[in-house]
Amino acid sequence: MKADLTVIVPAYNEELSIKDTILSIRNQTVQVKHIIVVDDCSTDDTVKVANSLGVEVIQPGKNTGSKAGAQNIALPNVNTEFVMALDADTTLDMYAVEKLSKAFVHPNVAAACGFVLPRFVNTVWECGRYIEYLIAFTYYKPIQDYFGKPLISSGCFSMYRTKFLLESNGWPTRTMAEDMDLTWSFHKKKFAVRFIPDAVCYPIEPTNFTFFKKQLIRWSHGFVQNLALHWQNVFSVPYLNYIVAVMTWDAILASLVYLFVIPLLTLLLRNPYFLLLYIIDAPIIFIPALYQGIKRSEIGKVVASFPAFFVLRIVNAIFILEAFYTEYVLRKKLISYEKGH
Amino acid sequence: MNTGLPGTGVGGLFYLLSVVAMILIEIKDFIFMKKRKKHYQLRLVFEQTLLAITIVIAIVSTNIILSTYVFRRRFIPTASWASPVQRSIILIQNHPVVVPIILLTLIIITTQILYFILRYQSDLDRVKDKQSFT
Repeated sequence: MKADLTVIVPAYNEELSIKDTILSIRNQTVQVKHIIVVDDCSTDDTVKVANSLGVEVIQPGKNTGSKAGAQNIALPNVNTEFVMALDADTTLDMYAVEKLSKAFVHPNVAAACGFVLPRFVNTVWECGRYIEYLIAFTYYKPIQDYFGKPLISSGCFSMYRTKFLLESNGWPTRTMAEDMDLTWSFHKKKFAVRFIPDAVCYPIEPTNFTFFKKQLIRWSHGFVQNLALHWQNVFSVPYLNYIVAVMTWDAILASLVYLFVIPLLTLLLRNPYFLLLYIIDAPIIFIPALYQGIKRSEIGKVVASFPAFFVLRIVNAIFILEAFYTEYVLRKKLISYEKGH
Repeated sequence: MNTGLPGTGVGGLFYLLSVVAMILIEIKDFIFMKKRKKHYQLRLVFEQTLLAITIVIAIVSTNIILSTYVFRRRFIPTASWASPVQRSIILIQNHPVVVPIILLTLIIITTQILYFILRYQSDLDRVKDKQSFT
């Protein structure tokens, strides 16, 4: 069986990971028609590896400056009904394309995304991210899908109906989070976006703080930029308006609470019990993570990774506040796209 | 990124309420036989309900465990007479639920008002466009 699908793989210095990505596309239960690698002026052997695997490789004259830019370069070469964006460090479960394709039964579906799980879970950053993904994709995203409003069709692995993507002029490059920008535009146009939990992909997450920081800066600034750009559109879409409002206030207030309120209360009232607030929700957070861990037979991994979640939460708090402060108070827009890993 | 408030977080509480809404929608659809639900939708509602119930049990259990084993004081509903230490304990114990409830109520009301304003504005723009066209 062949899917009427083109997979675009944007790549920048991905010689170590791109082979696994392409092989995982080739190993799908449903064969894809066309694979295009966009080599965004890599300085390593990405092109060589991609060419050796017999896929089409496009090389723009100069670096496009963003993942969205690289993906757009390939768009004129797409002549299939569907197009997929897949990061060059992300592999697919062998049923991923087959499962994700089923989301497009309804002609109004513009985009669909799947379950994201880190491929390697070793460092504190990977462990924390693993728990974050388990919570988000087990608890938040299925509910968003039920109400027809997934917040983001993840940029690392999403399928689109080509004509709707072309109608939106491809992937937008005006913010640091092209996936959020595109998803919110689709919601505004009343196109459907779906989340299919059975379609699983495995990206390589940042293994150290340097790369993790770059990714967080991009994500947090991307969120803040999209909020500024889309707020009128978003707040006029039922349910999506609640999701975004809740997410915004939760992010700001929680960050202030973790970084300032809890330490101040502990010091001023001289009561160390206040420090309990950093972990008081552990049982609540643990439930969705453990539920997914049981389903995937990864209970040990969930238990071992769980403490890292609390480290990431504090780090997230710093970067989300920094993004709001820089973009809204200092009015400095982040415009250079730095690859996270 | 996950930066929810300690406790259920505003987000956590919002999604708990969303599950309640999902259940009510399902009951309504069942009673009025509005549409035939697909298997995956029913599975989703079942799974999310199960998670929501377990999360509520976890919130209550956390409160009981803290009262019994950490603070060694029973739950106190008012704090007008309490000492600063007791007040801190009450705040810590009830914060996971009380603070998100207050915040979520404010957020929902504000968002809904904003929604009506934006809809009214877009309706107004549409009428203006129509008039200028004719």
